[in-house]
Amino acid sequence: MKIQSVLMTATLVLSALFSIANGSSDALAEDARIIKVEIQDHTFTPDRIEVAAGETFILEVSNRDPLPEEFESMALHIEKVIAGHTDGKIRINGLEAGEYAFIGEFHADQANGVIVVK
Amino acid sequence: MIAALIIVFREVLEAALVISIVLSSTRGLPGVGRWVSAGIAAGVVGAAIVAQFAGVISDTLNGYGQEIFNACVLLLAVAMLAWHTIWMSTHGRQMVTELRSVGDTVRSGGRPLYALALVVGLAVLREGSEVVLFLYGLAASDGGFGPAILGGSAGLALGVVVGAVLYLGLLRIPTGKIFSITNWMIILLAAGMAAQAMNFLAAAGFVTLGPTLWDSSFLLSESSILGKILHTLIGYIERPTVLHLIVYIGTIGLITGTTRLVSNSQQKKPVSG
Repeated sequence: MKIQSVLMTATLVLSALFSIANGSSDALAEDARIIKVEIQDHTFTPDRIEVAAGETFILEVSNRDPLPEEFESMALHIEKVIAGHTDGKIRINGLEAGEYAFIGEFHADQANGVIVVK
Repeated sequence: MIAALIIVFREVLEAALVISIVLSSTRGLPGVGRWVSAGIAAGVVGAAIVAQFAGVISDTLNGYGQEIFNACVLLLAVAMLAWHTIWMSTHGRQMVTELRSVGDTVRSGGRPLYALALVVGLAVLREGSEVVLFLYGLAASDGGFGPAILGGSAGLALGVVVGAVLYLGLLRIPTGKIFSITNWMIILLAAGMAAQAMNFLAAAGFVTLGPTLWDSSFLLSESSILGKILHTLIGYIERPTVLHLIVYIGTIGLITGTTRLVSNSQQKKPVSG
């Protein structure tokens, strides 16, 4: 009956993790600068976003196209699908100085942008 | 049409690879075809539903519904892969020595094929919902119906071909080795998924990824087809962070450690069926 005890332990660990997650749900409360970005004709406007090092900010991405777009940045470990004619927000916690590229994965040849952190 | 083909192919690829691994790790077992088909079918239906409610999902949980949903889907798949691997360690030994007995074990209420069917369903659900969303948007736009149908089916076919190539490659592995090889593939699949889940938890504000360890994008871009394949198979991340590495190694350690514990305790007592 080892499996049962393993499962019990796993359940306990998971529920503990879950309550930690719940406890920190105030992390979802927003108090950061909002930067609006638009997707139209598969391009980002603005396509260059400047922020200060260490600043937490929220990208509010409005997709004006009928097609969905996947906002993706390998540098930031972000992938978020934004359906046609909807908005999506992406919170980014304090970054070190540098340049962080992002793309619209569904139209990677046109949809390019960069976040410049100074 | 080419654009639609490429996008659908890239999305289908991951699910196709997961299905190949599951199929080759369970090959020859009675009922596998039915379980995997049921997983795919449920995944497709789920994908359509998720795509339909994409806006609602996105807006819930203070705008982080999509991230939390993706994290849950990935972690549930990880749990199922772990459960299957641990279960196998209690019965796998007999199976390797006498493959024919496998059928009996399954019939006697043994091997949890539902766990792997769920993994298949979740993979199809996650990738499929993006495909549905994209193709629906394309079909609804001017002159997009033809390209959506053609590009969509061509992309799907191409994804299935890559999955089939992996499956046929794995079929060539001798029976004696297939168990340990597919077992490791499943463990690495789980570790990669667990690490990827951290991206979504971090995006929703639950965890912090920590500093980046290295950047190997100049060697292999994660957006390339090969990068995407390795991302699925072994969890390749071009710019991994401390948390990615901890979760990746931790998942491998947890599964292999539990496996060893369980199979050791099984060996000590006589096999009771």
